[in-house]
Amino acid sequence: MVGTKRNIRVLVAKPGLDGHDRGAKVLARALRDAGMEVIYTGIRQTPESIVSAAVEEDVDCIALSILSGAHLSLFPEILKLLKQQKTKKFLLVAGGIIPEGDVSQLKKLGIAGVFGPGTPLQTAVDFIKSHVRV
Amino acid sequence: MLQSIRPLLGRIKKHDKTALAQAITFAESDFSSHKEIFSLSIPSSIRRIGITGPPGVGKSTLISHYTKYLLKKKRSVGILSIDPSSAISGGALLGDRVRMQEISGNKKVFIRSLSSKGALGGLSPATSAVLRLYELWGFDDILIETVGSGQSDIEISMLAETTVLVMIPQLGDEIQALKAGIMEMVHVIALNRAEQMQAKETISSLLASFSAASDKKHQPPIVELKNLFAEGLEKLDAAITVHKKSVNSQFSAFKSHRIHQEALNLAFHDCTMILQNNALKTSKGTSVLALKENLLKSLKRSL
Repeated sequence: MVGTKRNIRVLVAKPGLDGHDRGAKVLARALRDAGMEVIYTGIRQTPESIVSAAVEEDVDCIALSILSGAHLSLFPEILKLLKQQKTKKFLLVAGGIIPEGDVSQLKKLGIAGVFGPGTPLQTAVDFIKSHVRV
Repeated sequence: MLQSIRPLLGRIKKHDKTALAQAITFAESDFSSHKEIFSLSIPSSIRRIGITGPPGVGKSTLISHYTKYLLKKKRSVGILSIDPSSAISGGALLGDRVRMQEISGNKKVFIRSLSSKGALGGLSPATSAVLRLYELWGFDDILIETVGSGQSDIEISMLAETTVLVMIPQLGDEIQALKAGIMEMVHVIALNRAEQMQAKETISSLLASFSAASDKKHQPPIVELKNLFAEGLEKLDAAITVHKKSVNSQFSAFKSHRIHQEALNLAFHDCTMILQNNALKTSKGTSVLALKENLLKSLKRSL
């Protein structure tokens, strides 16, 4: 396994004030087991800290996990900050407690995939693998 | 995606974080970029500090607190954190940033997590190349955190001029401290959770093992870190500075030693790659020694 193979790099980030991160950790583990390099930054991240971690780690994908219901105020802020960076385009996906009625709005914002409770882990893994260009 | 690392190098000098981040990806995944990277200079002014120690002793947390201390002194800090890759999937969970939330996003701090990519020894194959990029940026201090390491993970001491071994009380008795390996390569020992009662015992067994050495010169100072790093950082910083001064008095020796090590790492990596590729192709057999001979022959041919 010593090599120069370019692994897909994913930032798993939890914006806002959620206290629980079991879901994010389970996803992080699944992505790791699918051969990706997963950077996990812990709970209670600000949009600024998420964007700066994504830039420094040069990730291919940002996976946002949110349970608090604040996705419609926090995600636009993250996207605004990402646009200000003169960096490459990141693949954005989201998961957690997100009402179905909000999904189309999030997709318009630029979140490529939204995965609610009950989504098989493999679905999220496959989505990231097929949408990231390495 | 950029085709070459070259345009990024000028932007790194102007402290462009995006450029540094993308150059690191180059250094990790495209070894043809190494031609440019290894012609960069090794400045003597930078303190290169290796932070090593077993898993869970507080390496990442120490880095976070020490960086806050350094920021107060108006210093800029580049952090390189290495976590192990999976031998099964090749993936990795890089979790050191969780402990570094308070310093993440600061303009004078850059943090990058690297996967060990299957390498043993505590670092990743691209660590020395990434270190050169940090040096190009010109951080005042560069902190390299190894994977949670064992006794023989000494690679860090070849790249960083000052190696700090982080320990906690009750990790082992005097016999452990007497063993060869990382203990004889460290320059500073940082004893975390030194407020605990058992810390005294740990210190005395460390001191006893040092006094048993024939070379009395190698007695790394033991710095006690107490109460979640509220105490001890100043002493740690002073100990690192003292050691840095002694290295700088013979900096050309350090530099040639490091260049030697970088070359060895790269050659070792290339040979490993060839051997692993060839091992897949070499026909299966039952004789260990015959297979070994075949592999060595194929290595010679590939070189």
